[in-house]
Amino acid sequence: MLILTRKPDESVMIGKDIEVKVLRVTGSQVHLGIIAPRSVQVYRHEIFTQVMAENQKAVAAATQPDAVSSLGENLQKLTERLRGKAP
Amino acid sequence: MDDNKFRRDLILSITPYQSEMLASLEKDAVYEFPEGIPAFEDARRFTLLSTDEIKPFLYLKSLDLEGLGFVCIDPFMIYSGYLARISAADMIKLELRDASEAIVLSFVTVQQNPQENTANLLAPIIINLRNRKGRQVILDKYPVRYNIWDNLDRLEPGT
Repeated sequence: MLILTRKPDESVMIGKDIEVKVLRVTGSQVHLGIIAPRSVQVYRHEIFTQVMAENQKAVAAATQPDAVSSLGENLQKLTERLRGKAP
Repeated sequence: MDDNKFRRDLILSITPYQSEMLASLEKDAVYEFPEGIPAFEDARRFTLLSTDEIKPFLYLKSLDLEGLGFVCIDPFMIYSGYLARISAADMIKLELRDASEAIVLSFVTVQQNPQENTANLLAPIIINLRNRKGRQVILDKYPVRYNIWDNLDRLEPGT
């Protein structure tokens, strides 16, 4: 891992398009400003990890044997409630 | 593609189109997820199954990895006022021009007890039906585990 020391108002460049700037430091919180092309996505790391974990759970549940055919059974009650709610 | 075409985020909200589009999906259409699905990056090609037995759920079935698939639900059906704000970055990747091209689906985590099934409202999948490209996007709000059953009572009639 590359480790750089920065002060508030200083920044680092990642490539020539992405700038990460330290705006201010309050206690244990660091406020970062990120300037990047619109095609670059920026997430908090833990959100991305959470989505990956939930995808794995969703698949594990859906890939039981005969997932599709048994779906009707497992989700039937829910389906009935949803259908009851649908216009 | 010219990034400047996408100056603003696109907000997908409930439209009369979504339910019609889901009801008239082309059978056996192959949808390409160029980056896969987070945690399943090798799964690039999918098809959407929507049979009478599983309606209103759908099944996003991988054509690359045997046995891999996701149960999906129309998020607008289970959460009144759901808004999917699609970032310019996602629109560029999907080559999405406007809301009428897109469908939004949430993955369902199925539990033994149907009352415990949850939907991932935080990270829906968006499919551009025009070019059949899809990706999972991450929104700036909504829970990753939204209990469908408990919240059905909160839905207003007709939504």
